[in-house]
Order: sequence, then structure tokens, then C-alpha cells
Amino acid sequence: MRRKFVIGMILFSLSLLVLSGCSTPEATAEPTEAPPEAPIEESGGLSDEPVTLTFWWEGAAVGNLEVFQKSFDRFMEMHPNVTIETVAIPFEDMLRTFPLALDAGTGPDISMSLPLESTTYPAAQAGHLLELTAIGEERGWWDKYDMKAIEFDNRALDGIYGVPYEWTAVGVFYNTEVFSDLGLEPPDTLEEFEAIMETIKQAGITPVSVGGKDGWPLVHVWQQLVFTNVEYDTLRALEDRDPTQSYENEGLIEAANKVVEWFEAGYLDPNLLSTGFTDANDLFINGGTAMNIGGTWVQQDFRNAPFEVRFFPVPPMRTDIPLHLGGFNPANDIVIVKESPNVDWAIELMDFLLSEENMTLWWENGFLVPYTFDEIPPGKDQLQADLYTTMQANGPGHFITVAAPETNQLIWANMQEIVAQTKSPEEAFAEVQELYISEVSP
Amino acid sequence: MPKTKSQSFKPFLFIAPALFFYLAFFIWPYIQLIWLSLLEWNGFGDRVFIGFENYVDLLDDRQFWLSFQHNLSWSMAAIIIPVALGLFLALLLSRTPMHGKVFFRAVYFMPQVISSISVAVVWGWVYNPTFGLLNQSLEFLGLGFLARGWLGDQTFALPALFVAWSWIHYGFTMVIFIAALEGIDEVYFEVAKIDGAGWWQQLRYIVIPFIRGPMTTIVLVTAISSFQVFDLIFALTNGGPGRATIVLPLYMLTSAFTFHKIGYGAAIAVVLSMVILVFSLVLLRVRGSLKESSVA
Amino acid sequence: MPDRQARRSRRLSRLRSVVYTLIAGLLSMFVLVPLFLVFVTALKDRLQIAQNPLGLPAVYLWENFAHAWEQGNFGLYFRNSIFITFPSVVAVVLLSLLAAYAFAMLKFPWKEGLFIFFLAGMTIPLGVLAIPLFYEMLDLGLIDTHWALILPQIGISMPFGILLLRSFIQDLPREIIEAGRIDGCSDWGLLWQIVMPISRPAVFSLVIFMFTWSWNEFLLATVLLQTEAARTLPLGLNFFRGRYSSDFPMLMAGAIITFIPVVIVYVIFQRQFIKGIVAGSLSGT
Repeated sequence: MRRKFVIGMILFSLSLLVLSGCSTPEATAEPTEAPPEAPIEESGGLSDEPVTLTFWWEGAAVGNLEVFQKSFDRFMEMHPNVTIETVAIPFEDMLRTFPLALDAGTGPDISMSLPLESTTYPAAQAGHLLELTAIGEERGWWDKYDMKAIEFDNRALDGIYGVPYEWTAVGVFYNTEVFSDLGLEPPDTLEEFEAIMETIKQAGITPVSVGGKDGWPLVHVWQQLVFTNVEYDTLRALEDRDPTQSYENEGLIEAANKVVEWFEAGYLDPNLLSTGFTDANDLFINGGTAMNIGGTWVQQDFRNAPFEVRFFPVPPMRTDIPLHLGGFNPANDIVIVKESPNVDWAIELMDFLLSEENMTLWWENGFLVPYTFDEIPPGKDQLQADLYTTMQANGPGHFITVAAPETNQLIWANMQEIVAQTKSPEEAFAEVQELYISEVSP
Repeated sequence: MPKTKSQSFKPFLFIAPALFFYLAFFIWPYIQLIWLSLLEWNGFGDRVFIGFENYVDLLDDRQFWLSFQHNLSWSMAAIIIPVALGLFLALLLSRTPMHGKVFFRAVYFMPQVISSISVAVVWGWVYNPTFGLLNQSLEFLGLGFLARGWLGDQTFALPALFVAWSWIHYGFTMVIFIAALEGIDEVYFEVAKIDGAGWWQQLRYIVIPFIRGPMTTIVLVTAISSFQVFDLIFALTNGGPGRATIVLPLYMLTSAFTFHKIGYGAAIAVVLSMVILVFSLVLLRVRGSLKESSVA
Repeated sequence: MPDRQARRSRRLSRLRSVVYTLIAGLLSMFVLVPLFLVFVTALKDRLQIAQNPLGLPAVYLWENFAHAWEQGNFGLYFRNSIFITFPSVVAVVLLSLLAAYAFAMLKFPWKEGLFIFFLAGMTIPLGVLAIPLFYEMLDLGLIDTHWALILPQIGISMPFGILLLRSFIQDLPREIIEAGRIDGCSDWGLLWQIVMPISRPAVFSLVIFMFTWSWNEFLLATVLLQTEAARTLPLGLNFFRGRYSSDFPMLMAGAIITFIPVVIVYVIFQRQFIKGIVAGSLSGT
């Protein structure tokens, strides 16, 4: 209504202009732009009417999206009246755009969402996401799904809003050709890992690429060490916004010092602070480095490399605490937008994505799906086997930094400063702690 | 009688459409901005009126002061470097015998019309550590030891961004200076020559007094646009490395839309607009007093 | 003797002119060399960039442009940019012309006050209004439409447009206006038949200002436009940049696609462009 009013006002004020006072008026240009098309209102329901579902993908790495595309293609084959449009949105843009678009009603119908406080919680709390518990029970979604993954991603919410599509892990992706040329084997201890990096460096190759310009990939390197150097309970409490916990922790600082040590030793890309996430992946894929420390969300991109890529976890700093792997937790959530005019079709699509047929498809394409197969289908490749083995051998390790968005971004920034040595880890974490406290207990 | 009546009514018809848009899409949002800055609000929940608390919080927000400081040094550099460069080029191009003046003017001004995101793409490549034009050229000249990851360096990131920004803006300052210089009557220079005034004296006693007015405009326009610097930084470093390139417009958007602190972001915006306002008033006052003194 | 001196001074001045031209030419390299290399890079493949970063391409890959155009969805962004820029420019010109005419030619109460009220807007940059404009456009249901950018751009441009045109109209020779009045034209007639045609230089400079501002607007667009379908060229290019951040041929092709229309328009109209900007800025004092 108000929109019509505005447009009416504009047309009115412009029409004033064509009135003229004497003889022949000079023709005045008038904008002839048609009002933008109103969104097509779908009545919903499973009719045969043509429907377009919009799916937002988080991430600049689109390899995994190609696997999703296979699922979508299958779905569109089953339902010829449905068209699924996918839009890939880089991580930082997603953080800002997703909540805004939901508020504005211009968001997707079904989407990837970043777990916990990043985007799923705020979106659910603002009432934009569809609660799935009952629908899922009715349709048998939860029967064979790994509920640990679902519980984890929805633990502060009053129901199920986000369904993670796989288990992620973060660790070392390596170029098998370089390793076999130099006679290297995946390491078991940190000393062995450092020896490997030294050998590679001596051979004139940069050992590890890291997208340090974007902040968060650099934090992952640190976090891999943190989970093997600090008791799990402490980290879990930080992740759960426990105000009695502190970032001024010896173990966190030691891990940061280790990152600096590697950087100084030339084990990490000397240009990592001017290398973004995609740049670092490309560098590795193009043979510029022998390894990349990253997460499974780029696994498909690495499968497209001209050499075989395999995986091992960063070996532990301390061997006296139980093994946990940083970044080993449920992946991004799939969520349905409540206000979507096509919510029925979005549920139908979700139904397909969570089906045994699709889980098999994903597994066969290399995803580590949180699903209990009666009989595990044949997997994709050695990379998947490496990831699977790692996950069996380690406890989950999450992302401690996602607890509080501001603290999170300060850690990104401060880790860059730590590596650049413009801030000591002690100073950096004192500052982080101050912000953390003000953010979790205002 | 009817004539004067219609006369007093009609002007408002001329102004009404402009006034409508100005009020509805400029003044009204600004009032809203001030109102929002007094609230605690996450964008979807309840709006809580908290008075000036957001402003008080800004006072001991290190990130805010850091952004403020970057903005200030950026603007200080902005009103000196591109302005001086523009003046220098204008002196070179306007009163000297040379070929292709029109061509050179057009070339120097060109970056001004290119979208800042295109400029960011171009300069992102210039500064790329491995394939970048700058490092490659340094290598080529045998200065490889100077090469570095420019945008990933705490010390050089902000100046590197500033260079890219200046590349856009010096053409603008230059063109206006040229216009001002060409407006000076040739007679002054003839007289000066007869009096035996050298190049420096001509500059000091003829050129500078004449371009004082345009100079204020240039400084004002440059300062206002430099306080709002956003596009280049957003696209090239997003505030990093560390927080070496964070500026107020960037912090405003992050606070409001990534951290869901709408009121806080609005308070930053209000402060930013106040800074610009004060700066403009001070500058106009300085010019006013200069004018008076030159009359006296 | 005087003849030889004159010749010497002429030769000297020709020498000076050559030296100045050389200096100016050298300085223009700062603009031309990067732009030239951007073109060169866009025509290479990644291998050539690694092996021969600064040289000419061994093979000219014109298809890079077609590839970037398709991958980057630039056709859509182009259309959006045009649909936002054109109505904004037209509306700003018409509305400021109307108001400027009133401020320059007509007498009415509160004229001074109103004028100062408009002028005050000059000091508020559009960027700071991103947050409230988001919520205003949300209430109006205009987020993600072209209107979300058009309306605020019109609003904020009023002060500048009115100021620029008013000072021009004020300086017009009074006789022309009076002649028009004697011919029996009302104010409407005067404005469209007499004032508008002779104000063409000022109108033209306003068009140019508005065109570059609107075409390149980024901050507001990042907040007010959210979906792929609504993106303008700068927004689209920024997403493209995130995705192909180290694929330099693609990136440079994308950048060229974005700036080439403006540069072409600029090269054609560069005289008027510069004249217009000068007029605008000087009268803005």
C-alpha cells in the first residue's frame, strides 16, 4: 500500500512538470521506468504450478555447492515444475546480508546458515526460521539422522531450526605428489610435522598456505593447536559463553606462540596476511604450496586439483589430554525460511535432502554425512577415508570463537596482529577477554 | 489582490516536489538516525530507550577511537596530498606553453569517473604480493628487497589504500585549480614580469591569493568525501590486517548489521556526521576570516 | 641583433614547451600504465601471468571477456545500474530546476530560511543514512527494488542540484527574462521555454555529476539491495571479486566491463565533463 503511495507521489510530482504556461510546451523527459516487478506470490501447496525456490549458499568456495547441485538436479527431475536457483555468498557477506534479507523479506526460501550465534540463532530468535521438530518426526527425518549433530547446532534454541549437512573437520590438506617426491609420510607427532615442513621448505616449496588476510582461516591454524593444548571442558565453556571462563589462558597463548614460530620459520606462507581465503586455496591447488590448513568445506575444490589431495589432522601439542579436533563439528545448517511463500516446496526439498537416496549421493560424493546407513555405501576416495578415520579417532572440537560475534572478529584481527608481531599474545588475549566479558554478560 | 495571492502560492508549487524528496528521503531518515542512536535494539526485538548510553559507550570503545584516528589521519593526508598534487599539475598544465593540454587534463581526470570497486580490483592487483604490478616492477628495477604484501602489512596497508584513493581524487582537484588559474587576468603577470618578479613571487603574490576561494571548496569537498571513505577499504582490506585500516563508516556498518547493535551503529553515524559538520564550519570560518584580512 | 634575440627566445620557449610536455606525459603514465596493463592482463591466461607478468600477451584471449560476462552475470547488473541511474538523474535535474528557478526568480515568504534549510543538507553524507534508510525502505516495502536507491539519491541530491542551478539562473541576463515576460509567458513558460534552454551548460554539469555518483554508488547499495537479482554493477563486481580473487584475467575483465561504459561516455564528453565539474564546484563556494 505504502509503496503505491510513494510511487504515486513521484508520478504526481513529475506530472506537474509537463504543465506549461505559454504556447507549445517543450517536451520534458519523464522516466519511463516501469515499477519493479512485485515478487510472484505463490499460493504454495504441492500443485503443479511452476515454482522457483531460491537457495543461498554460504562461501566463496563453490566445490561443495556442485554436489548440492546434483541433489537439486535430481529433485527438479522428480518435480519438473520446480526450479531451484542457487546463489553463492561469501562468508563475511553472509554474516551481514542473511539477517538483513530475512528482516526485509527478500531472503531465500531455503538456505545455508552459519551455526550458532553467527546466523542461525539470531535468525531463529527473530522468528524467521521454520521450526522443524514436528514436521521432521512426521516425515521420519530424525529416524536415521545423527541427532548429536542436530542437538549441537540447536542447543540454545527451543527446537530444531537448522539441520547440518555433514560433519566438518579442519586440518592439513596435502599434495600427495610433493609428499611422495620428498619421501614424506603423514606425521603422528608435532615434531614430525615440523620436520616435514622443514624438509618441504628446504626443497624450495612454501609448506603451508593460509588465507590470513580474511582473519578466520588464520584463526583455524591456531585453533587446531588450541584443542590439543587446552582441556576440552574449558574450551567448551568459552564456546558456551560462560563468563567465568577466560581467554587469558596459558594454553591459548602457547598455541598462538606456536603459530608465530611457524610463521617466523617460513613454514607458513610469508605473504599470508595479504592472501585471502580463496587465494590461499588457489595457491595450494596450483602447486604453489605443499599443504593448506583448512576445512572440509573446500574438499570438493581440492578434489578438482590436478594432483591427489589427502588429509591429516594437525598433531597434538600435548599428549596427556584426550584428543579433540578443532573444527570437528556439524557443518553449516540447512534452514527453511518461515516467511517463504513456497514453504511447502522448501519442506519437500528438505525432505529429499534428508532422504536415504540423497544421503547416499552425498556420501558417494565425499561428504561426511551425519547419517546412520544400515550398510555403509562405498565411499568416494582416500581423502574421504582420511577424514572419516580422523573423525573416528578424535573427539569433537568445534569453533570456540563463534560464541560471541564481536569477540570472534576481535580474535580474527588480533591473530593477524600476533602473527605480524605488532601485539604480543598476552596483550591480544587480555583485550579479547575484556570484550568477551562485556559481550557475554553485559 | 488575486495576483499577489497566486504569486505567493505558486513558488511553493515549484519547490514542493524537491522539498518532498528532501524531507522524506533525507531529513526524515536523519531524524530517525538520531532517534535510533538513543536506543538499544538488535534489529528485531524490543526497542529500549537508553538515552545517551550508546554515546557514553563510544567514549571508551577502543575500536571506535582507532577508527576515528584512522579517519582523521586519512582526511588530513587527503586535504594535503591530492590537493597539493592537483595544484602542482594545474600549475604545470595551465600557464605554461605545452602541447596536448586538453589530452593530459582528460587523462589525469579519468580515474575520477571509474567506479571505486573497479579501482579496488585494479589496485588489489597492483598490490598483490606475487603477481602484483608493484612488486613485479620493483623486482624488475632490482629493488626486490622492497617488495612486500602491501595490503597485509600493518604499517603500509593504510598508506597503500590512501595512494589508491589519491589516484582517484587528484584529477578532481587539478581540474578545479586549472579553472581558477585560467581565470586570473594575464595583466597581473605582465605587470609582475615588468617588476622583475620571479616564479616564486608570482606564485606567492598573484596565484595564491586568487585561488584561495576555489582552494576552500576543494579542501571542503575532499574532506567530506575522505571522511566517508568506505568502498575501497571494504573491498580491499575490510579493516585489516588486525585493525590497521578500520574507519568509521566500516565500523558503523559492522556494528549495526553484523553485531546487531543498530543503536550503536547509529550513534557512530551521528558522530561521523557531526565531525563533518564541525569540520565544514571551521573551514568556512577560517575562510571568512581570511577574506576579511585580505580585504583589510 | 633584435632579430636573433627574438629567434633565440622563440627557440627557448619551444624547448620549454617540449620539456613541459614531457613532464606531463611522464606523469600521465601513472594513470595510463596501470589501465593499459589491466587490459593486457585481461587478455592473458593465468600461466602467462605467472611467467610474463608485465609483457604483452603471447596469445590474445578475447574470450576472457565473454567468459567473465557470463560467469559474472554482468548483463543483469548493467540493467539494474541503468534502471537506477537514469530515473535518478532525470528526477534530480527536473526537481532542482523547478526549485532553483523559484529560489532565483520568485519572491515568497521564508525564501531565505528554506534555502538555508536545503543547504544544510550539503554537510550530511549519504553513507551515514544507510541504517535509517534500511528501516524506512523496509517499512515502505521497497528493499531490493530500484526505488530503494532512486528515492534517497533524489533526496540527497536536492541541495547540490538547487545550489548549482540557482547560482546559474541568478546570473542569467535579466533582459532575456523580461522579454519573455512581455511575451506573456507565465513562470512555467519562462522556465521551460527560456530559462531551461539557456541553462543547458549548468544542467549538463548536474547530469554528469549525478550520473557518476549514481552509477558508482556502493555503500547504500550494499545495505539496501540484497539479492543477486537487484545488484548493481559495483555490487556485482564486488561479489565477482570475492569469487575470482586470484584469477586475475577474469577479475580484470570484470573490472573493465564495469568501467568501460563510463570511460567511453567520459572520453566522448570529456570537455563538457570537466567544464561542468568546474562550474559546479566553483559555484558551490
